[in-house]
Amino acid sequence: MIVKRKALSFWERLYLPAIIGGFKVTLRHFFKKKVTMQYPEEKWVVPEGYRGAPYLVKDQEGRTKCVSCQLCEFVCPPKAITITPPGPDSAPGVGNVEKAPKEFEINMLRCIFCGYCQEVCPEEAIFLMKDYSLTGTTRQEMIYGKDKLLALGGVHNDKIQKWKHK
Amino acid sequence: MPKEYRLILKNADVPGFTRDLDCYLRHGGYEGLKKALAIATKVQPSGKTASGPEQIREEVMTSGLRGRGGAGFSCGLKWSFVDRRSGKPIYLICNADESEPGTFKDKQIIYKDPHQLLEGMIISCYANDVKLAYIYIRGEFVEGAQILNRALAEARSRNFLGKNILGSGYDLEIHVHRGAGAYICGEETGLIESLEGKRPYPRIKPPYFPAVLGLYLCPTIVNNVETLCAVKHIVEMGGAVFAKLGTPNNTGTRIVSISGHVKKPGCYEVEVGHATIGQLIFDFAGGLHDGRKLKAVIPGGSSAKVFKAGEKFKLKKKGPDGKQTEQDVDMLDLPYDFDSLMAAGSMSGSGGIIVMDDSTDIVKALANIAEFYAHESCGQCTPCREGSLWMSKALQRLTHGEGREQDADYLIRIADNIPGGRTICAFGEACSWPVQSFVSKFKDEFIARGAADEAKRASSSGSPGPELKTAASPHP
Amino acid sequence: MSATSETKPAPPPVETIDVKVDGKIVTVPRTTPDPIGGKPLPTTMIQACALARVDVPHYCYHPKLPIAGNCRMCLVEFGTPAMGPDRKPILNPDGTAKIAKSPRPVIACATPVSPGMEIYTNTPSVKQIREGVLEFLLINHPLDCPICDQAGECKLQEYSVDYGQAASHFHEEKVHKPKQVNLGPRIVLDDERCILCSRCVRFTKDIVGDDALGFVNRGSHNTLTHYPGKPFDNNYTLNTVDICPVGALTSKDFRFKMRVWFLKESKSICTSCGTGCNIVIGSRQDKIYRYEPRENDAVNSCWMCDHGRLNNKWIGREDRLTEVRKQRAESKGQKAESGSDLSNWQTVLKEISAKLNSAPPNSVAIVASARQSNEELYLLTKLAKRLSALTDSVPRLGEGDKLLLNADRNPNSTGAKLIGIATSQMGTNLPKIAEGIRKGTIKTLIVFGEDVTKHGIGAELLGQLETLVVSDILPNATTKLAHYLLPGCAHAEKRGTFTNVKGRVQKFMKATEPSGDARPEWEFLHELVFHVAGQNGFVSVEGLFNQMAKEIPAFNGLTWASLGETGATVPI
Repeated sequence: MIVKRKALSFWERLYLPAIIGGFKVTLRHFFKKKVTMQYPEEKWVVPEGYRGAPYLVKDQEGRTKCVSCQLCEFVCPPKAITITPPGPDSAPGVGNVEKAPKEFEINMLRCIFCGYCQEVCPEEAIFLMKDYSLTGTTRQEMIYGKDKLLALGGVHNDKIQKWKHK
Repeated sequence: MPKEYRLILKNADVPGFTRDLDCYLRHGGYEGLKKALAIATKVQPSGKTASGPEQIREEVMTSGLRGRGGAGFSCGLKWSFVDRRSGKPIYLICNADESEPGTFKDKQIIYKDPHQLLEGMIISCYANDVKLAYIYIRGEFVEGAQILNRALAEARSRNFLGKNILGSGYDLEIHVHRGAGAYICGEETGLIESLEGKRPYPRIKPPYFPAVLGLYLCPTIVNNVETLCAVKHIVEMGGAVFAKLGTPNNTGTRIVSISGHVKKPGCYEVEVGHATIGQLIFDFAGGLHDGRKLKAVIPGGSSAKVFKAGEKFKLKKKGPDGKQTEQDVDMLDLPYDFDSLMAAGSMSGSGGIIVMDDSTDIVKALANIAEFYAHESCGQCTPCREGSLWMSKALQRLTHGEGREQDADYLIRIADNIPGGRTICAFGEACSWPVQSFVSKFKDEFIARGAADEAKRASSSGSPGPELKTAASPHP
Repeated sequence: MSATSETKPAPPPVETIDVKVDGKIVTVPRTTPDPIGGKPLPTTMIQACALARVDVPHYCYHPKLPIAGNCRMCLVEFGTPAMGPDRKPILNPDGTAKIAKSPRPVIACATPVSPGMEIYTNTPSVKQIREGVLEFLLINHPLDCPICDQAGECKLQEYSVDYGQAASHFHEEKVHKPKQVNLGPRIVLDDERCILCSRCVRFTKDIVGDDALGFVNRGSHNTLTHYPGKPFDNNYTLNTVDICPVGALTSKDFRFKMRVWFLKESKSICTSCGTGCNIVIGSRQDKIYRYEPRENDAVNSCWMCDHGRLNNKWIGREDRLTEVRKQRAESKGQKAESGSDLSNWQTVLKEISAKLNSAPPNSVAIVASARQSNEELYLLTKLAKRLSALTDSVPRLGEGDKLLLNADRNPNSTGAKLIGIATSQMGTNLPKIAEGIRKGTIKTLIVFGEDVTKHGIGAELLGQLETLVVSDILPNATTKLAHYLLPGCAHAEKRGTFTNVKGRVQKFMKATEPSGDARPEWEFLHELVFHVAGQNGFVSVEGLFNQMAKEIPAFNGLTWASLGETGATVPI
């Protein structure tokens, strides 16, 4: 289909009004607050509910909340999570929580921060936190292990503590 | 006012009557057995020959005797179901596992007149061609078992038992087996399992009907103590005469155990249907203690549905002209028989009337009953196993100041999920009927109790108190 | 619908009756054989529903176990034709029989069907009953699915989704029972998860004959336990883990190793004895996690023994042979040429073919293994015929039991005998081979999957050979001495068929990839046969099997496709 270009009017052919209009906008912004952030010297404060990197948490008693159910591994769209279950010889941890992951790895190069792992977790053990800038010098460095994930995740003050009552 | 009609308890309280065989014989004992063994083969008008045992069975059928254990099933019919062609031995078991709260009639018979039971049993065994019979007696009746064993030894020594009884050519042995203290052993298939040495898990029916696949998978008859005693009297007086006692379809006499808030608790034997509940409580048992008012009556052992004082029922009655008329009958004016109580939504069960006056805390009373059933559920099938304990826990909570206003409906909801063929045996009904009837008939008391607890919790502090317990719920 | 059954005269006249399941008429046999004794028992409602393809949820019912009827999950409503006082059915105005609906529900697992019966499995009342029963089962259940091995194959989970209600009304404290109970050497019990269905109790009592399990306590406190002082230890204990509808019984071997939904399921055959139990191999990322029995009424019903079930650790062993190797050349005084560049399948197979082609008749002997598949043994006989070789394989005997475990611990002794690679008295040719080597008449020995040093052909005899070709999976004394070492595959890594002790020919499927250079034996044997005997035409295992079925009389008439999933029996 051919669209016929509309012929410009005389006023339009002068160009000057349009240029002046442009300068007006520019001038207005001179006196407004700056929006550019001087990253990385200046860091962005992310809002509540922001979905950054997923980390593991402990409860207030220091127990790794993850019980190695592997639902996050199952649901993870880019297959970034790899869990090594404890196997039969695992010492029963705290009370009736008989299971905890032997190893828990998230490949942050693969992770797409979708939040499925947090949503599927029946134990509230994994949360998407506010970290958005993950760097490393090797691929290996970008695979976060259990200890690193727990250290980054910190403590989750769990109101319910369901295993206490099992 | 109707009088007691002592048939089975005729000798029991006679001064000077002892448990000895000699004493029993002096009072006309074992005449029924002699009569039974002497019945000759007869040619019936139809041309069929009927042997002695067959004629006894016919007499029991004619008598209209209904089982005294709880269900009120026709004894003659029960005997007619027995598979006599399998070639397997037939067993008879006397169910003396009397453990329904509120019932204590069988104990009277066993402790006071054991030979009457033996005679009834021997006749019943003869009538059914049984060579080996058992008395399954409640574990707690230690003395009763000793009494029966002594009576058995006496009977054996006079050849009322053993080989070639009284020269008739009929052999019979009876053993006493003591239970280990479980209510469920009173359920006939549970009893059979227990007798076989297993856990008393009631059997599924089909296929395990005792009349076909009972003890050791052989045809088996299980009868209550009182029923077997009645057989002796049927043989002595004839089925037709026995049928004239009581009212049509509710024949014979019945031992009623009355307990609770009455002046004279005890066992009273009356013709079935001739006395009303009110007469039994106020005339036989001496009425309530002074200054008390009637609150509720459990008419047939703790598993029967409760009657609230002043409750009225519409009963269908057949007038003399054969017309059916509907009458409003007060709870106290219900004739104490199988059918009237059934029509009123409860049952005469094992004949144990529990009377509660206005000093009774109805919630506590139900909690007590529910705790009993939670403890006695065998745990085989799901609804009864889980439901009985659930109801008990809820009622314990309610009686310990942790109730909720909604607990009345909560209890009904649990109880409604247990009975009606969802369980293997009748225990499901037994544990849920009290809850259903107590809560629905005294609902305001249950709601008030829960509401009071809630109010107390709300005022004591801002803390939700027992609400925290919901942490055990699956949806934290 | 009855027309089709009438036109087809079934050889044994089966008495059938018509019942209606949810309005659908289905013809069922009047009796069904008892799963244990085989005695005909009246067909039950649940069997009729199964024939009508109507699901009836159940926990305690298992088709291969006696009926218990305790879970109450299979309660259904039903009606039977109403009878008039004259004992004749009452008819509706339209001429159909009037149905009298029973006022009480019944358990479908134990109630026999009768002619004209109508079974209703989807009425509001049945739905309400199921909800009620499920709620009762769940109130004292710990609901610890995230740490429970059964999650994913749990009937409580499945039925909660299908028939349960969303919320719990339970407001009390749960009943607490023992956890992590050591029932026996292979079983861990969690009593809180147990729903007391008694499947395990019935299995071990009625199938195994070891009355080891039972319940103690009363009511809701009922607890499954083993006989005091006697651990639950027979050769079939792990079957109770399979039949446990919930996660109460767990296998110590599989416990906390992998979630079941990750497992790839491959149909295979257990190779630990001659019975050939049908199994499902559960594997993930080329690692085998568990064996589970697969139903085959002609062989193993629904069961398998613990010995066979746990005998799979060797497949994933670290020291598996993974390289094609040409070794020990220097002992011949030649220049060592075991360079890795030369050791690949193509060159090695070419060299072996050349040696075999030049070998004089009767100078070659073959020791095959009765652990090899029919197809591989068939290819070996082709080689043997061309070379006029002396052949045999190694017997392997143990103690059998009366249920499944056979004294013959080779999975394919029958196949080896039928195909002709083994003598009818397996192992009688082995001394002859040893004698031949000693005398020097046998100069080349081909060994498949056996350590012949343990069976009368010692290391010094193997040293006298000009050529020793060995194919195996794991290293042993014979593989060390081989001139040519060909890494093979476990049954889980290839396809093929075995013939069990009763002559049942059964297929097994590939579950995992072999490691390293290892290749299925039939693949490289097929190349050898092509080079030596000049025969070709079976590049796939299907083609190979069909070719074998044509040539070996015992297998005549069979095809790969006709074996199906449960196999076919040949006369032996």
